[in-house]
Amino acid sequence: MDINSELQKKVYKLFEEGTIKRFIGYEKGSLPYKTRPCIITKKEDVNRLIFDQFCVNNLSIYLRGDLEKTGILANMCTLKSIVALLQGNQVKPENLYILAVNCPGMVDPDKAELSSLPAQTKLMPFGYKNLYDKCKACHHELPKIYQDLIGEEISVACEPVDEYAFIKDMEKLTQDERWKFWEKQFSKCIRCYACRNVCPICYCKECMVDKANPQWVSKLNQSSTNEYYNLMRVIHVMGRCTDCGECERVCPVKIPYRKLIKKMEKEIKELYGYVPGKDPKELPPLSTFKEEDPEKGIK
Amino acid sequence: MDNNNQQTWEPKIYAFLCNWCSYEGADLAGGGRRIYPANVRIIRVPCSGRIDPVFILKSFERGADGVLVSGCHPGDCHYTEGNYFARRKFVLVKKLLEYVGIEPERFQARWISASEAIKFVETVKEMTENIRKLGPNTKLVKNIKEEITCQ
Repeated sequence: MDINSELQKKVYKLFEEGTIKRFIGYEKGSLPYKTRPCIITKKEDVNRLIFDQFCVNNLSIYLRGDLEKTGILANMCTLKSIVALLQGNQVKPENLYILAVNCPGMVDPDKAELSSLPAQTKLMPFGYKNLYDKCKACHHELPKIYQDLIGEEISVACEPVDEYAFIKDMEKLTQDERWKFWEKQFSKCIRCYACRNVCPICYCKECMVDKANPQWVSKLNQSSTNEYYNLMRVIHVMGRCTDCGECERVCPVKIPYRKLIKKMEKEIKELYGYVPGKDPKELPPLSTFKEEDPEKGIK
Repeated sequence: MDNNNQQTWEPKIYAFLCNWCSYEGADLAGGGRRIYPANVRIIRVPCSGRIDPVFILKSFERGADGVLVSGCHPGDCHYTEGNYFARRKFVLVKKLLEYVGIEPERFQARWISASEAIKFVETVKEMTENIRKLGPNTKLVKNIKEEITCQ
């Protein structure tokens, strides 16, 4: 069965049975090969719902606040973010109906030559090389928190990519070269805070960035303030980031945030054996400790 | 005073010390008349667990050449487990600062108990010497002069 009709049929049934009051999914965008998130509240509207390889938005940011019974179409990244939200007690699992989808990986419009693509978008016509970097390194094991699953099982017909390859390259550089690289990257920042606004785990009601007293982040346009803001954001999400890559995708000046946050993910994996986005019952690494934790560098 | 002049430059070290152990250790160093460099500025915090990693970044931004964080030895925390949480944060922040290219000598974490005045003195001496060799910190520092002209 076509994945769109399977999805629409399932959601229609959920509305009919009264399991959900609203459903968060994707609909067709106004441009070809674009989709946008949509929230459906009536069963008559289910034919708006679609799923293809351009459904890249992380839908879990629409789960903030008090929810009535909500259904959500969860691809791999959304699902992992929901795990992080459950860990932080940000959503009530009883208000959630998760319809997971076997995620084939999303197409990066910057990589794909869109004019040569077929007009009728089906799953997996785009080939491996057009996928986002995060999707190339994806292990395709959905965390078992969903109520239902749609889509055919994905067989990954490619060589697995080392997800930390670019970090190893960075680590080979000297200290000053690394600083030069990051200084250049951060100097581009226009502090639109899109990375913060789109981040599913940046759910604080009041962000340190917005605080005026004490003013943690100066409003001045200075390179040091950019560096400080970006590093502060890394500190705030480290250990909880599930690598959905939304910050990097929405950044208007293309700062490679994943290169920064993946490094922390790698360190946490090596030091504490924690992998984010797996088990909602597990505590994030900075909310817990072990007595025998390594303390290299602390004398 | 102009601290940017090469001849008169002195390292500036911000030290976040836990109230129960390290601050007492520094106090004992003073009480015991032990001499240590005046480059260290001590900030007292209730527990090493109170030290938000953002404090460390903020210190560098405000012109610190080095940051020292210190608390009770693991297992000795006044609040039982604050320093265990702090330990994870310190280790990760150290890795992050190294990764973006800030000299690792500039950020130090130590366990100093209330009786270890000598360890405190030695730490401050060692850090001051290391940072003097490195020179003033130019990374992450806010340019105050620029700020004044902006306003």
